[in-house]
Amino acid sequence: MPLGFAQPGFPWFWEVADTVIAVLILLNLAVIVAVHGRRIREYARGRRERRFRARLEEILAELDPRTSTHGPDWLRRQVAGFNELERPLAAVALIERLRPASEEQRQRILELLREVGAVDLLVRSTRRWLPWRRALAVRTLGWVGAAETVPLLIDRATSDRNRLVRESAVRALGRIRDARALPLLGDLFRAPGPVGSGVVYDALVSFGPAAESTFAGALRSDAESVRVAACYGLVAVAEPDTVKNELEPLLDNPMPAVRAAAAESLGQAGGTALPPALARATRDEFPAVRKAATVALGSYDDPYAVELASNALLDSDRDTAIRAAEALVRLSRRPAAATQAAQVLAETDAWPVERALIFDSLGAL
Amino acid sequence: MVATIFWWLSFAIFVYFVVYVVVTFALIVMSLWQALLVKVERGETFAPPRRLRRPGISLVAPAYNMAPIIVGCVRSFLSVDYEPFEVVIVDDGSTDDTIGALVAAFDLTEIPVGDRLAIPTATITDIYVSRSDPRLRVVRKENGGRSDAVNAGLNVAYKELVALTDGDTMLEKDALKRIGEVFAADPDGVVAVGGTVRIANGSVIENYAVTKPRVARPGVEASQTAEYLRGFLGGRVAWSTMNGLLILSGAFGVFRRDLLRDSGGLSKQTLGEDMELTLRLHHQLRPQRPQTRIVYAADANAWTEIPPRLAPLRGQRIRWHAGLIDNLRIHRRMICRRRFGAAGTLALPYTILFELLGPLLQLAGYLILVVLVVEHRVNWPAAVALFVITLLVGQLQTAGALLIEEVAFHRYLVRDLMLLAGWSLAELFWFRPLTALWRVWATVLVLFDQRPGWGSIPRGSAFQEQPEVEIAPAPLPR
Repeated sequence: MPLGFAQPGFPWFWEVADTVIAVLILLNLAVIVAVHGRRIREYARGRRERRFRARLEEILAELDPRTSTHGPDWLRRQVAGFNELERPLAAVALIERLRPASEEQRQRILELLREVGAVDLLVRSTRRWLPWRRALAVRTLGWVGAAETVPLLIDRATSDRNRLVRESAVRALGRIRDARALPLLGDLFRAPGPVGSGVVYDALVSFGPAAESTFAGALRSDAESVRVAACYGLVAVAEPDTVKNELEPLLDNPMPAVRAAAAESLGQAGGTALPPALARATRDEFPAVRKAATVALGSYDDPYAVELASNALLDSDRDTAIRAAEALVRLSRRPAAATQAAQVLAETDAWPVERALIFDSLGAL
Repeated sequence: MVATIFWWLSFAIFVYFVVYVVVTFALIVMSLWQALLVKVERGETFAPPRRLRRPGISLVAPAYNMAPIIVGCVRSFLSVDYEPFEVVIVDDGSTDDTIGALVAAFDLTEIPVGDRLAIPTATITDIYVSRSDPRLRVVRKENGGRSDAVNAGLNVAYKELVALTDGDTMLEKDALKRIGEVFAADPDGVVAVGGTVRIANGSVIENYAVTKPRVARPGVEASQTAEYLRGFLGGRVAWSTMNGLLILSGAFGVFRRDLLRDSGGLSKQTLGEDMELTLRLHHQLRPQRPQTRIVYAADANAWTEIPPRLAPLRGQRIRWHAGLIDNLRIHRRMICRRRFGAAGTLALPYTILFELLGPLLQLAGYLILVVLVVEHRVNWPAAVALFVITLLVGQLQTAGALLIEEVAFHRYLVRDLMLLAGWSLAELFWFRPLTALWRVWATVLVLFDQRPGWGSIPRGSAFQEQPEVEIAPAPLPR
């Protein structure tokens, strides 16, 4: 407003003000047109879209031999005739159709999609300009499970300029579970950055035992976060004995987060004899490690675990004390530790035990 | 001499204004681009058969004298689609029958309070667990204000993440699921995620869930709705992309519990405790862990109520601005420091230039205009030109936010969009000057070491069948 003082003799102001106003008016108009244009377009497309959705039901029915009436040639013509509006709708509908399908049904649908050219269409869509279109195509390929598209998905996961497309590609590789993707996923897991580490972790876990060596190798990574994720990954895909052999040494790792993850993962593995390193971890200087180790005690049917859990009731960390009482309740249900655990629960008047028993009575433990 | 000073002042303000326009436009463009991606990512979740890294969430909600509405709100919290999950309601010394309503509705039974609480708070007198749904716990404590109540909740929360919200906020069913996915995708980097806080006033609410989003017709509410849309969709999306978010709304933010607890919980030293917490996370973590990310999940929605009248709005805005000044003072060492990334080098200077100084300049502009008019020295064409530019920039901000809303979420009717655009045009004549005036008043209060109280937010359209209740008055430190 002080510019109201500006005199017409200042030509810079008038030139700039005129230009700024003109640009702002144009921008405002453009945005308003875009907002309402979308509504108008949607209205105009509404009937077309509804018609297409009705037709889509007929098209998708062709994917099931029980409901098929037209045959592959008809389906090929329909797929080839999809326009810009119809392709994304068809992709989303296809995903919804595949979501509840069994492995056998998926294979049959995949063969049919290949035959009618739908897979080729999806492959072409992975190079579209708009990231969401690329991501949708990549995602659909993951659901379709076409193994021949794995090299393409690997390429998208590594070289697409958009992070969300890369992550969609990694998720798709996790769905397809083709061994060719494992080296790339291993690399991404060991050096997170281009793709969120949790996304890669999920994809690798979906490979099951085939990813065991990747996780085991990553336990020796220099990066703390990679070691932590590898602990959880290993217990998700490996046998309990392998987990114990690999993770017990990590309880002496200098990184507290790694020790905590190893302790928690050993708890997931469970067993009868409490690993000595896990027992030591219940006295770790870091509360997070003590807490994780105390939770793990409840998974080992070993009287020594009862003794350690009983001691942990006095831990200076509230969370650890609560978990110790919960571990005691769990141990009271195990054959070898039950008697001793029940005795501790009956004799102690510590508040964490009282709390745990109430939660147990409510079925919340 | 005076003319020269005015000329330079005018020039400086013009440059300031141009920078503001450019930055605003850049934020909108960035937000729009990100919104296009959110569109496709919505609903895309992928969980392998054994996913051991899915973090549990404890939802902590303080409540003060909310007996008439608390049961419905808790039911809405418990209906959230997420596992593992628990709800911790903290009754902050209510003088009505908030606890009685909860006991009766959820069949609460007492559990021991225990000791070794990590964060000092006012005395916790009782803790209850629900027999009908053991995921619900209720903490009863002596009154200590919102931050104190949240800290008490943090002390007894159990899961890895804590979602901080208010007792009168409604979460959408999938809100935590979407936020949980953000943490799961990058468990090493993400330390906090905020969702979108939307306005419930005017919307159709059934069983404490917004079933038909609408915009309230009165200008006070419609202008605030437009303002929230601008702030969340037009600003936070872009700042999140740059990892420069300075605030996760107190009405809906999810944090790693260990970090929150280890850093002492919510601050009681400021009225802007939500902004302080976000800044503290940047301040403490980023120099050591540059990969730390504070993220905004635009598709995770919570619905809250805004002041339907000017008086409570005034109190709210004064509190917010006093909190902003406090936080800038507390975290002044972050300003323009590269080790804090975009938060230090871009977001904080932006906040100082346009949030802190903006109202002062705006008010100075109005005063100078009045003086010039009185002295018959105003150059009307130039003044009108500036006025038109201001109007168009404001409108561009609103239209940009509406476009993002349309592209990514598509929640409102055409009627509502028109209403928002209309009130946005009118804002320049009343809403913006008023809020600028209140913010300048807040600055004056802070300069004289005064702080406003928490005041009250009357229940309006969202809770129209309920009587008005007071929000906890916070004891303010001096």
